[in-house]
Amino acid sequence: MAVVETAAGPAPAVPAPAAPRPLGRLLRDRVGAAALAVVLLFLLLALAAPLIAALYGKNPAEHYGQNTPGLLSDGGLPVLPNGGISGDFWFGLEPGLGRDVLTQLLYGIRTSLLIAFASAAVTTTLGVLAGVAVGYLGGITDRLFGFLANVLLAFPTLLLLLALSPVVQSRLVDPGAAEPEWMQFLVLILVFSAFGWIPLALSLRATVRSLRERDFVQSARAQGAGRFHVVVHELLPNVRSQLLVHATMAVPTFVASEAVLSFLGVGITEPIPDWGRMISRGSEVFQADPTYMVFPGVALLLFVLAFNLLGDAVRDALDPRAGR
Amino acid sequence: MRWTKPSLAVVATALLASACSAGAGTGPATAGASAKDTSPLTAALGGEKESAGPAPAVPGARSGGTVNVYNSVEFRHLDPQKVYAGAAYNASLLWGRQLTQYQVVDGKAKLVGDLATDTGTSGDGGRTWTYRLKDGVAWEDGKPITAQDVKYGIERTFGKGYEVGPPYWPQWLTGEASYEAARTKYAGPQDGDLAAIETPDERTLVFHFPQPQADVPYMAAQSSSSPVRRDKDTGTDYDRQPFATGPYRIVEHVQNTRMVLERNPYWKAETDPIRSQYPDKFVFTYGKEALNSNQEILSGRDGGANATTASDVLSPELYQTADTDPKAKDLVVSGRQGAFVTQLVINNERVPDVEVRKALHLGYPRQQARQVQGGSRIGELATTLSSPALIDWEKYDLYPARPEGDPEAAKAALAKAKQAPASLTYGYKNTPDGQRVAQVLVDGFAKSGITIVPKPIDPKAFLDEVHRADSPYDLFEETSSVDWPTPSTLIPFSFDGRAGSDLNSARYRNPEVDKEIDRINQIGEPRAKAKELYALEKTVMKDVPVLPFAYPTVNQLRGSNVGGAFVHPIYGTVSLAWLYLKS
Repeated sequence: MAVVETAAGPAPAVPAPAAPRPLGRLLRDRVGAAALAVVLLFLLLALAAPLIAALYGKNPAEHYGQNTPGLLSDGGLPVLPNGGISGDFWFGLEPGLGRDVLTQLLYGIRTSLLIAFASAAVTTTLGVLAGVAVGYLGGITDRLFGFLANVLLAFPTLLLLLALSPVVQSRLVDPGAAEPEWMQFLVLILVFSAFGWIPLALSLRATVRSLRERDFVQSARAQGAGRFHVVVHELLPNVRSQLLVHATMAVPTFVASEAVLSFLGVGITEPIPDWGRMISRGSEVFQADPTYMVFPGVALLLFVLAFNLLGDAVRDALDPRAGR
Repeated sequence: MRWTKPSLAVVATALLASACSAGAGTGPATAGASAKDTSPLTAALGGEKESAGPAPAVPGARSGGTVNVYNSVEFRHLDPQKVYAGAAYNASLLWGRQLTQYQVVDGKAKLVGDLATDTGTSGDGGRTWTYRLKDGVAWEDGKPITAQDVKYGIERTFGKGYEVGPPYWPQWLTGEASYEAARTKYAGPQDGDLAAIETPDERTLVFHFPQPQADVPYMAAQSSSSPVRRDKDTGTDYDRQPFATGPYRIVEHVQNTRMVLERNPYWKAETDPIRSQYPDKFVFTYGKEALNSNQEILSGRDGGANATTASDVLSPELYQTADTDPKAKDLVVSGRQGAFVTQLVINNERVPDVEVRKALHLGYPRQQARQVQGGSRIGELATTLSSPALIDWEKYDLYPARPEGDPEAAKAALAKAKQAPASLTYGYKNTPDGQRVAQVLVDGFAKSGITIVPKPIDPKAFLDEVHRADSPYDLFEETSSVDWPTPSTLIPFSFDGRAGSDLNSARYRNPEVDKEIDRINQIGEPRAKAKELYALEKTVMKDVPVLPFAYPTVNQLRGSNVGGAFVHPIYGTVSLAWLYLKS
């Protein structure tokens, strides 16, 4: 997890003269602007997936290749070269089941983004609450938190998930029913959240610890401000940029982790479209149909890269002194 | 932040360039075993003349050289009384001999006498079977093989630790229905002499069975009918290095790593109508990934040209290569996987209505399910419970169904059902292939108005899960085989209503069928018994207790210098005992 250790600028009282607003700075950074555009494009594609699929005339669930003779060979490979790309199937067909790759990709964005955004939201909230509170309170709370954080960090997340998924299947799911979609999503979000908030909390704790001895906090306290006031009005505004950076960096991490888990078979299962599973299938058929690996591979690369670059750009925009 | 831009476009283009691929094209359906509607097994048993050696010469064969055998995993057992798997049966022909064995010429198998002079003579309606050993059959130290050695081998099958092997000798010789009950009557060689087998002299064996047994000649071909010499029985270590009777002897065996076979100087070709002895040596190497050894065999490097696999099949990653590269295609050895049949088993307790089962049969998208697993190369679509590899087998198709499923016919059958099920649970092995087949079934059966709920099961727990008595699955896939190429272990085992759900996994109960089984079991002649069992099979199939899916095909690779490779029609792997090196 990308942890941003650089403490945010301390001078909220005296802003630099005529400094452009952060968004303006972000847009002036060409890489940042491009990254933002790509991210927004992905968001738009995810939101409009049903609309695009309807216009394009395909859906991600139907086994076109199996139900229409002549699209797949006897062994399940696309008959046409380059993974079966044609006027009908712009990105080709999935080997074996013969589903449409383009709509699978589009709906796959929704899966990835839903999990990533939900996890990022939960981890950021938890991280802020814990980090700021512990940093400000110090003492025994701080020691307890340090211990808890170490315990949680020691958990092998991947192994836990590998071990957990059959248990969830057998204990929580009715034997006559398939595991509901929401449960698959919930399990992933919960596991990501349970372990994902610690790095943010740790870095915020450090920041807040140094902030609470600063003059503006001391003077607020001297004027009789309560704990709540100090935390909400004095400390939180000063960690805002750190938060934003964390959140933007967390999303691509979660997208990649989710893909890894699905690749390993413990993430999202059939028939929900998923990039990790597409890549896993791509690796199986790579010798015979390398094209199939390209689309989810490039999409994931672009998506994670754009989000990471955006995260960097956000940090630069919020902290004018860094890296200049 | 300043970047020297690592252009995304470059990365993407590079990926795309490497990703251009030729399509599968619309060429003819790939090889695999072409549909044969007759059994590869000669029904008539070999007499004294056919049982005399030597084996028919393999055309073009020459002597010499070392054949490499690669496999990802080692055979589970080498102790002849513990061996209970086709690949191990097949490989053990190299060092072990049995009372009878299958002579294979041009892919056609015929049961002949191996150590015995013929396939056995029966008396008393199948209650007594007599075998005479040939002259000149010897152990790897030159001592002759005696009737007592064969008897000692069979006595071992009663012993502790030998329950991993087939249970038939103990059951038949004591007349008990279960192996455990048989063992209470006689518990192995340490219990003294087994009275049911007489050895009047060094070369004669007389088996006495309480009930008529028709299949003794076939059971006599199984590995558990191999002789073991009392003074060479090293107990558990015998599993590592059995004492040889065949054309080769084991000179070195490091478990899970390597095994070396050299010619057995005391094996005489004129006594053996089955095996040949062309190569000087066989070297088995275990532990290499199947894909790696397959690639080595295809490339011919590092001894790959002289190699084959024991049971590792052509990796799916190489299907395309095998289809498009004529050189690679030439190295694929395909054939039916013995007598295996893959079925979609219906839990008849949970789906008691025959019309619902018929609807499932008619709507079953067999072709699509086969396509996602590799197409016709993985097997022929099946219509019967029995495999075409069985004696006197004949094709039948009681309720002809379209291979891609017939939703209209299925809906019509479903309409006749008293109550159509709301949904059916399909338990499957949680592997990528298993998940895809599950998707195919969900999609295909939905067209017939049948809702399938797919439930993934840990592959290791799969058999236990679907076989346990209170298993919650309505449907699951199973691949199984009879123990020898007669139908005797099919209906009487897997569709006997009195059998537990571990054998009768369909939970099929039909008192009429049970009665028939008891009657047929009294028949002492194999072909007459088989004929009655085929008739009974059709009675069972009328109730559609399971949905036949495919007769699986085995695709293995052999090196370009390896000659004489074919898939054994009974054991279903490349037959090592017939191989030779071309140069």
